[in-house]
Amino acid sequence: MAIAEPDHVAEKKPAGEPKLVSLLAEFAGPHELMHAAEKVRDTGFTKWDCYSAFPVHGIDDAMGTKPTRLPFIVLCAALCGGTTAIGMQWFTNAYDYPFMISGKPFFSIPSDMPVVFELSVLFSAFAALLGMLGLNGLPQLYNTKFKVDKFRRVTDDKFFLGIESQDPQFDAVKTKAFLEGLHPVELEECWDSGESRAIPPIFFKTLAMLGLLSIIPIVLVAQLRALPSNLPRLHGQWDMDHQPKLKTQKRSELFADGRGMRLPIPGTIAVGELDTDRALYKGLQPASTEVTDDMLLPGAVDANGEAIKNDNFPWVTEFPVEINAELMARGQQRYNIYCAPCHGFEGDGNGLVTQRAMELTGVGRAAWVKPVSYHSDPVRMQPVGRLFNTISNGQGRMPGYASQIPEKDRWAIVLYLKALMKSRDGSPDDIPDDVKATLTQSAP
Amino acid sequence: MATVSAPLTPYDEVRETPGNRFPIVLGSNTYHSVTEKVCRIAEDPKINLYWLLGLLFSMSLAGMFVACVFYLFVTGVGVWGNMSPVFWAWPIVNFVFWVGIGHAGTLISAILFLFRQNWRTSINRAAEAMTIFAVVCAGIFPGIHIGRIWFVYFLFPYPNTMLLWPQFRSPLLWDVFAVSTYATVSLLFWYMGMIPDFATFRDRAKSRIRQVVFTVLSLGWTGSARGWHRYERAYLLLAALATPLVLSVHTIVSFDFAVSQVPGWHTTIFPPYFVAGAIFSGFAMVLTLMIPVRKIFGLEEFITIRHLEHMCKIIMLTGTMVGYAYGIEFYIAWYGGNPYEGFAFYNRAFGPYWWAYWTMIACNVISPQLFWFKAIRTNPIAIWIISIFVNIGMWFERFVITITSLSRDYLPSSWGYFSPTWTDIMMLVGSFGIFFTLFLLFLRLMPIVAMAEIKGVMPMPAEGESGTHH
Repeated sequence: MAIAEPDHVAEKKPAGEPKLVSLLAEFAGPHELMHAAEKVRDTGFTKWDCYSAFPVHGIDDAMGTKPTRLPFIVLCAALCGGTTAIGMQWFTNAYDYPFMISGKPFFSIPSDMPVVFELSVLFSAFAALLGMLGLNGLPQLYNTKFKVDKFRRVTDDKFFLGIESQDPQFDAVKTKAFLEGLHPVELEECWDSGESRAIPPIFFKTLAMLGLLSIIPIVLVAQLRALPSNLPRLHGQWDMDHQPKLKTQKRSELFADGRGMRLPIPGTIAVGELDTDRALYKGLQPASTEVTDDMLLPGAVDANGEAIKNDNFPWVTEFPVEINAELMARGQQRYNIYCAPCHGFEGDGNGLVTQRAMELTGVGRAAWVKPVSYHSDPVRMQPVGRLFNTISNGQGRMPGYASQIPEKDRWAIVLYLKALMKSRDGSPDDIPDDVKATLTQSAP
Repeated sequence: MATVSAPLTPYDEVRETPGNRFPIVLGSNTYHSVTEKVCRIAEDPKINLYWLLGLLFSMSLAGMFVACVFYLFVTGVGVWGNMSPVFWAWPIVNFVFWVGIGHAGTLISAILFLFRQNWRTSINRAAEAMTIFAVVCAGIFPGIHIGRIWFVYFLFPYPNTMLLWPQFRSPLLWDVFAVSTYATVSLLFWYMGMIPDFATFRDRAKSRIRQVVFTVLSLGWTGSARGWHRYERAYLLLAALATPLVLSVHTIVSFDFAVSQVPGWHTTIFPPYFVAGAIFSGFAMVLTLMIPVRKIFGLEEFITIRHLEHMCKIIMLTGTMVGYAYGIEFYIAWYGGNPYEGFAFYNRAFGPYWWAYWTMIACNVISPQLFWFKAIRTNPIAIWIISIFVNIGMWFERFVITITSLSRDYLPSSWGYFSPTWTDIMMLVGSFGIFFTLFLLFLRLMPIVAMAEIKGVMPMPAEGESGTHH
């Protein structure tokens, strides 16, 4: 080998054999470079290239460079982007969660086009850049050629032609002679010192450490999202969750009475609440009615044998609604929903809730009072208005149901209660004659 | 040693005679001197005083913007003047304004590239950078306009616990895709254009930090001819992709208005009219920026009077198109016979916002017509002043479109008069701070003129002559 090792290779401690990587010939200008390229091309070298600060016009022909595959890659990416966009819009708006907007079709090509176009462009732009880099073998931050000082002027104003030692026709002596025959301004040798170019392990350790650390916030957020917590929510902005308004039952110094919740102005009647019919809405006779004895509970006595008197209200004794089988059926159905859980299906005061609550009360874990049976005199004797009032406003531990059960349904329940009471307290005389006849007949 | 194509007769910077074309690069520049003159700006350890003052000023405005955004987040959107019925108001006006400005960069890079307008090479890098910074400003406004910025990801289709998807039949969603695609593609285009110039920076780097940074940024670019072959093809493809993209983005922005049924918005002329307006405002902003830059950084040889004149001609053309659109809107409002449409346009010109309308007409339609005079379109100071008028006019155009139509909706009892709050005004001013901060940093840190492209369009030295100094 006639080629001497460059000094810098000898100075450093080489980890391997120094190796000639390429021969770099500098040419005076673009025209000279092109002429040289034509000769190199015609000689049949394959692993070689020209280097310049800008794309020299005509160099592709001079080098015999074949057109790049890049346009096909970009076309594929564009089709891929368009298909993704169509698929995404079909899946999200027409298949997975179809919802109607202004009577527009769930899936229509015209309205999909903007996103299809944008994604096609987006995908192909990435393909163009990344494809160009990939085909060029970039990024490749280390390049032996950068060790040649002169070569670093390529990106400024110099023109180089380089033949790689990997080329099958390469021969250190002959190729050098060949390049000299092309009359370069200068001929440089590019040596790989054989030094290890491995990235120091500390780099990977740091990278791994940073990677692990970067997971921590994500894990913390995921944990907070997944687990229940007693802590209040974190608020970015408080204006929706914590509004400066008075909420239910809060004090306000703005008003003399200190109430946050304001009462309607006296005399205000909300829509649908003009309840003038006392009998229907309150179970009471007109206010002028005097409370008479027949409104009391006749014959009812308490434990001491004292007569139990009704409270001092003129309860209605007749139903203010029309009585029929339909109302009875409605009353039974409502009773079974609202009353039976505590009072039992037959009104004995032993519903499932009561049974369970009495058990708990027995062991001191609840304080339940058993509802009174409907079949006891004090209840049986009550006028219907009084029963209606109990359902509406509650009695003892029982809450009022006025807000849950409309008036007509409450009257239906009262009717059904009367039927329940009658079921234990009836006599053959209560049966209508025509029914009585069928009863005796059908009895075997 | 030879200069590149030394002119036989001194060029008159004003007149262009056929057969003796005005060169794209003036002066006796070689490839090396181009490198020197451009790299010097980023490598000079001495800091330019004008640049520093500009940076400090714009950074303080940017800081004010950040403070305003913080105030907005903490307090809520009530700090703006947005009030029924004008809910879009200033944030959307600013968004459309900035997106419009962001159109010139890619237009210069892509469309003029496809049309083989080589004069673009001197200004395309700075224009692309301007595009990206304008899109950054544009992206902020709809983001903060949603009120709850921490839910901004709701805009994108992602599988979520609510089992909901965005509504793809809405132009507002198309806008999300259009603007984000545009920002991404512009960034790729800008970055790809800079790879060879980053390699130049890398190879000239004196300090270790610059060397490492530009080695990474240039990805190991060697300037190989095979690499250039693929690079040029990729650049052409990106230009071909970016060209319809530029047109699509402002078209879709105009759909935000045109697809709704508000009188004054629901017109088919909006897409071409918006695109023309975007190019108009973008070129004006390029001129506003480049005229001081070429002076301060001594780039008059690369950004010549001829470049400025070309841009003035484009401004004149697009300004005339915009003026035509203003006129045809009135004609259609009359010809269409729709009383609401008629009222909307009458109200624009003679209603409570008449001052905004006539400011817009004066700045957008009348001022660019001055470019018919060669003396004006070759006078940098005159161009600079008119370009600022155009910027103002285009902001008012968006104001007129957005505010006048919304403030007079179908229900006269809801009519109102929009007034901005001090936060609105500070945010508009502050967004300029963000824009100029980024642009000034770019001027100092990156290759502001596309060196590789300039060298490509300079006449090659004749054979036997060296293209370089030794």
